[in-house]
Amino acid sequence: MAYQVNNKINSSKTKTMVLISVLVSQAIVLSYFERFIPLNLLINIPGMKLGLANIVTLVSLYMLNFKQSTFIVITRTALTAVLFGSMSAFIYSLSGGILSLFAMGLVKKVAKDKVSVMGISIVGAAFHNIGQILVAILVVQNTNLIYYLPFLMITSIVTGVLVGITSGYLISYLKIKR
Amino acid sequence: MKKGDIVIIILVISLSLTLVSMNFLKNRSNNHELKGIIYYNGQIYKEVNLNKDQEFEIVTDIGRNLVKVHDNGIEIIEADCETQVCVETKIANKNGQMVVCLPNKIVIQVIGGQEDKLDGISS
Repeated sequence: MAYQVNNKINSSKTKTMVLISVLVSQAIVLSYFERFIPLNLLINIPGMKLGLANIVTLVSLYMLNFKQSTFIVITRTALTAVLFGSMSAFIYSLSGGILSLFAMGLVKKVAKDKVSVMGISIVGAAFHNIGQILVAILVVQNTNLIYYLPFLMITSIVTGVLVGITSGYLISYLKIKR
Repeated sequence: MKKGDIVIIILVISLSLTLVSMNFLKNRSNNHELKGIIYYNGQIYKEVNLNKDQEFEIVTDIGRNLVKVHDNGIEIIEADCETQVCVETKIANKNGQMVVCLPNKIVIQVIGGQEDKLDGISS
């Protein structure tokens, strides 16, 4: 009996661990393939991207606890930087990722039933840009960079809606399967 | 989509519009000459007149950027940074437009040149 209980706990722990690992690797693949989408042919704003990796952050926010989501964000940005990125890009994606995670976590907690995955996704995309621009201003020591922020935020509504729809489908599917 | 989502979208749009109008007011300049100001690490590195075509290098402790001034605009055509975002950025030729190289801490901003158009119409 004792053995069985123990075994059950272990299996759920393993399940969570596997889920975290799968999510991290999915995020890395998503942020790698997003580079091949020539978004800058459509609109040319330097530093703009689709933010597909935010699908993973959203899934983790809905399926896991906040601590585990933070772990996923830090791990995926670090691994992406090591594998295909550069150190200078790492500071921006980490600051954007962490700020957007905290903003999404806060909005999700405060307005639990009033906001759907789409709203959370837009909050995440917008705060990702805010975090990146703030760190860029600190690094370059030039406040004029804020000029980019409104344009990035308008595009973040579009990308946020797309990512939100995708994540919504994924989360409802995963919750049924669980 | 729920009600809260629409509230979030409206908030983000209004914040962006506020920032756009703030930038517009800040960059409204009264000087006639179109020029590019090159900042390195927050300090002015060089000012260039954009009416004169030229090519020059910005060499700093961090890196090297090749700048080209042509067609009343300014752009970076070569950089030794990893991202190359600055090279892909289109030419800046209007008041307030920028070319930025984050890894090399270079910001190029275009100012002036707005009043010229008005003078052209009135005269």
